[in-house]
Amino acid sequence: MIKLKFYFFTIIFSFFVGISFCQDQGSFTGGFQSSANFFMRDSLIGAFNIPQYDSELFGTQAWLDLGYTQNGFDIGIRFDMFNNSNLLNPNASYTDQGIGRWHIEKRLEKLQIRVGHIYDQIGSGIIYRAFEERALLIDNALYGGRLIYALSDETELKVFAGRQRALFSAYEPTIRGFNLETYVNLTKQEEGSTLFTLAPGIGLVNRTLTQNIVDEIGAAIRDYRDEDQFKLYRNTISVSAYNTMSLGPITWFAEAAYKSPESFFNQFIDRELITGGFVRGTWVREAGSVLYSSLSYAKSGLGITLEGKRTENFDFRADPQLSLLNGLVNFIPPMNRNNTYRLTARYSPATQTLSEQALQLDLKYRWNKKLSTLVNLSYIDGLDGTRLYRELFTEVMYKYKRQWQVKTGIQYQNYNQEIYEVKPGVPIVETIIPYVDFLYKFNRKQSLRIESQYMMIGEDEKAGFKQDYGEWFFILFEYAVAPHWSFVVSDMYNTSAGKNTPVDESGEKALLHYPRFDIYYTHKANRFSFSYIKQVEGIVCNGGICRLEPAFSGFNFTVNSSF
Amino acid sequence: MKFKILFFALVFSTFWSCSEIPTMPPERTITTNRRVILIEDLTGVRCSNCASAQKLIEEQVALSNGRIVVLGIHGIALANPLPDSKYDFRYEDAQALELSYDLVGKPSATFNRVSEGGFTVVEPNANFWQPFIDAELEKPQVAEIEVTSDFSLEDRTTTIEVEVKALSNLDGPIDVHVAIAESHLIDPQDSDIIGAIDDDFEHNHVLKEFLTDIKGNQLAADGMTADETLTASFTYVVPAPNNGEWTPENMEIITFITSRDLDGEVLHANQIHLAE
Repeated sequence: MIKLKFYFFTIIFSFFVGISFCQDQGSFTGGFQSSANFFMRDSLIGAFNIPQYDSELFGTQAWLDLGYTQNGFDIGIRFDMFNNSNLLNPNASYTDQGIGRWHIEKRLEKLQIRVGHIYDQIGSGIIYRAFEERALLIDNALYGGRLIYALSDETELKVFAGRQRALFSAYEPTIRGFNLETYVNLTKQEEGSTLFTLAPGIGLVNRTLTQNIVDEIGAAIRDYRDEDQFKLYRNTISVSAYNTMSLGPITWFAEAAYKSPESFFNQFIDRELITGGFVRGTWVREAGSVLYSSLSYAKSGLGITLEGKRTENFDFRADPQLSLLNGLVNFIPPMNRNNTYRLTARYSPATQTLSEQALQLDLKYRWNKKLSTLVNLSYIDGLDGTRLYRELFTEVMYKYKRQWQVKTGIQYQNYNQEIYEVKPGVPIVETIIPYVDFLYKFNRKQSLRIESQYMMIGEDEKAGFKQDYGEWFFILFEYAVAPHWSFVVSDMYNTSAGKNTPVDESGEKALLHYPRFDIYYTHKANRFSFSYIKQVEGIVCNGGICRLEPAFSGFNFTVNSSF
Repeated sequence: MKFKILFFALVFSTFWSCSEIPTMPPERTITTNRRVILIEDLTGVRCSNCASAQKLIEEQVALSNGRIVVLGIHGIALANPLPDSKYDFRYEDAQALELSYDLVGKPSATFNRVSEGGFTVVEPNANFWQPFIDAELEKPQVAEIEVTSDFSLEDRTTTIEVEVKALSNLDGPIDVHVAIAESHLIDPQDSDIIGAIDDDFEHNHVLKEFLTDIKGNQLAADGMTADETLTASFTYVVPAPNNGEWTPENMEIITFITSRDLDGEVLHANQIHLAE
């Protein structure tokens, strides 16, 4: 197998070299990204008992992308390296390296052929999305083949088949799909007519498990009570229909998806044991559905977006025995705002795949060149009415000429930590966070940004403390000297103890500072950073996909370069 | 164009026309295999999902008819006592054992310390443990272990005699491990079952200490031939009772043998009460 890979990539490399000498010169591109951590043990904040802190002391991960296009050919390859990395599992160490992905694509008039690793999605991604998110080490590319055929200038048909990438190999189950999209322009041919278009599409994805996986699930339910057992099938089919309608300033997207009954593990249902008693979580076999719609209006400085979603039993993975961020076949859109400030982003709701109903309203208005305002409302419940998340976010931005600008506002949140962070019995976290972000430009090259937030949090009466880690104060100073340098100093201070605030040697709650110092240097297409970080445990989210991160203490060095 | 759309609609519809023959869950089988396996349950009183994991293990123990022996390793992670805890289960040997494993989270378990690439496989997520349990129970019995405990209440001392008989040739160095555990300890446990702290949770098979080295004591340097019998003796003094802990009638002696050629895999296990 190794010999086969060696010969294959030798051929690819030779191809690169060969075509570079052709008369018609192609286009060669690349990118390099690396992050290295130097771990410093700090048992007080929980940064210990992990191999990197106890013995390895250093961990890194790097990605090198190379691409070449010529004469309708597009070839790409990426080398991945993980060295004592904590990216795969924040509580363990991972080391491996190799070809992370490769592809060869050729366009032939109406037909596009691609083999290798394929990133794609159907509709909004509800039934299928293959994408990469390095911060969470999600890379679920399809390892196989794809054909895209232009039935007409407006209509495109896509078919694909393969297996889902799993680091340097692939999951055993097979995935195949079909997607048909078209574009219809219904705008009247008269001058001044309002733009009116439709972009409908349908999609289907079929996943086939191996018999081995089916047998493992069968073994898992073997000791269930007879009434809790079910038949096991290898195939699951997901279908969706969607449409984007554009009518002047109005855009309306709607998608409906259905998944045929499949076996999956539901961690929110109790199961009675045949020996008596109950446990939390059980294998079930159920069909799933998602309804999602987004309606927006944008004109004359006013922007309104209203989204609604209903999700039931739509956890779709390459193997239903996988959990957390592993083996995701699809992507269900999040229903909360992507907050960027340290404290406003601390409690971010992960998209629930089994039971969720949600609404989100986003209102923006630009009063004039200087003043704009924003209000965002997010409302997420379980299908049984369990309150999951509430958010009211407001922002007022004022710009004074080109000299300074200020953003300020307040965020109010209700966050069901019991569901989102699997912490049974904890109360719903309630926070109020005022914030301010001030940017001052001394001249064309130098600027100073000051950002600050304060988190007020509710009481955990049972614990006798504030909820979770208690209250926080955050402040950041960023001094930038264009075009190359940026210096950042920040501190997150636990002002008032919470239930989870660490306890020091004397047995008292330790109100700690979590400082961070960063230096950024940018030169053309290269960006370097060096940071000292002390970070409290929290969650990292991107697009509604989240994972718990333990506390971090140490130095970090990153490089990002494109060529 | 219409023909193309009709063609692909026909292809699309074939997905719906196919029917599949399902697989039925296997029947529970009664086996004459007397191999006894060891499950090390990496747990902790602050690990809410560990409550369900312990119940699942107890169910498997009950269904196995004595073929599963359990050690509850409270160790370090999520094991620090709750505010109302009477006991602290973070014993030295439990901590050392937990640190020797590549733990990704709790609950996790080892099944006969089966290893991959020289490292003991530690499986998280109790709801996916069944295949590992089944795989170990299906392996043939290769040894017998007889253990006796002569406990004296007067001095709270027991003399433990271990007799290991190989049923087939066992290659390479064989190590014997003897552990002391205690069950029926009622103490708070964060519980996913009730969604709160369960103040009356029954903790079973809590590892107190090893009478042998953590890695075991060498029993046979060059393996054992079929029908060969080897013995080992140990003495243990049960600490004075403390708040319901160290009750001899609730204490257990867990004995198992491992093969160094198989990277420490458990060949057979045994459990008896310390005081009958």
